[in-house]
Amino acid sequence: MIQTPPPPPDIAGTPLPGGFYTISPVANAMVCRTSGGKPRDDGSAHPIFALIATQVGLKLSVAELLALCDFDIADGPMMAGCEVRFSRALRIGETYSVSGLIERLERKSSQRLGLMDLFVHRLDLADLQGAHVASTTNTWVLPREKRP
Amino acid sequence: MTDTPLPPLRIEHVDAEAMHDWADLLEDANPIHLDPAAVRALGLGDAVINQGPRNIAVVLNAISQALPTAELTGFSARLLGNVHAGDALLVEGLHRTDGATITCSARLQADGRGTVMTLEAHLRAEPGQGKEMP
Repeated sequence: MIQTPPPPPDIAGTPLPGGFYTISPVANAMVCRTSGGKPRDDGSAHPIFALIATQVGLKLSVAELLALCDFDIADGPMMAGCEVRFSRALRIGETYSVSGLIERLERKSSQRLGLMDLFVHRLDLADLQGAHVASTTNTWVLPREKRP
Repeated sequence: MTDTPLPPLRIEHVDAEAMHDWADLLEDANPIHLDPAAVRALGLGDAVINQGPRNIAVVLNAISQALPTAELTGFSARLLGNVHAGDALLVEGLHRTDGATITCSARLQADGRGTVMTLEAHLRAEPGQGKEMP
């Protein structure tokens, strides 16, 4: 008999703990080098730091974030998409505060992945004066069935 | 308004070693990026899977190289498939200018698996426009 996993926890609206993140020149250089780009010479950071800074600056590891969804990181979560908005460019050496909110966690079924949960959370970056710099709304797929 | 092709950006070989660097940077120990056995156990293939943000960074680089003076104001990405270690990647797309706004639609293709990501980016043609004056 196939066991259906328990429904996902009701965590929509849960605020996420905040923290801080500083974009280092070393990290920016690594990101550029390993993605087919090169650092800009105007002090701006690679825009992908909107995702990196929010994820790391949250001060909640990915495993801990997924534990809120009753999901084990060893079960292979996957990023499905993101929507990012910038008020201005990110800068190397600048420190940002990070805040976040869980928007929803929904059970879905997919032909390719079987039973899964869609985990949607929004993360914001602000400068140390409190001005908004960037936001991202991330959607992750959390598979709830082992694939053959 | 006319669509202008993005110059294609090619990555000949996705490097597994760099996935460890990205895992450290992202503080993400998800084993699908680090351990081929974990990928096999989950039925996702035989080679480690690249981090989604690294795939997005590749596409953003193609856009930045095509439009070096424009300012990125936002983007949305849909990850449709996985990129594995050893894959060859190609970014292609189009951009269109409407006044001070540029919209760019790009796709990331992995050899043998077609389009694995689509991304739409919005850019400001003249950086600094629209900002409040002090």
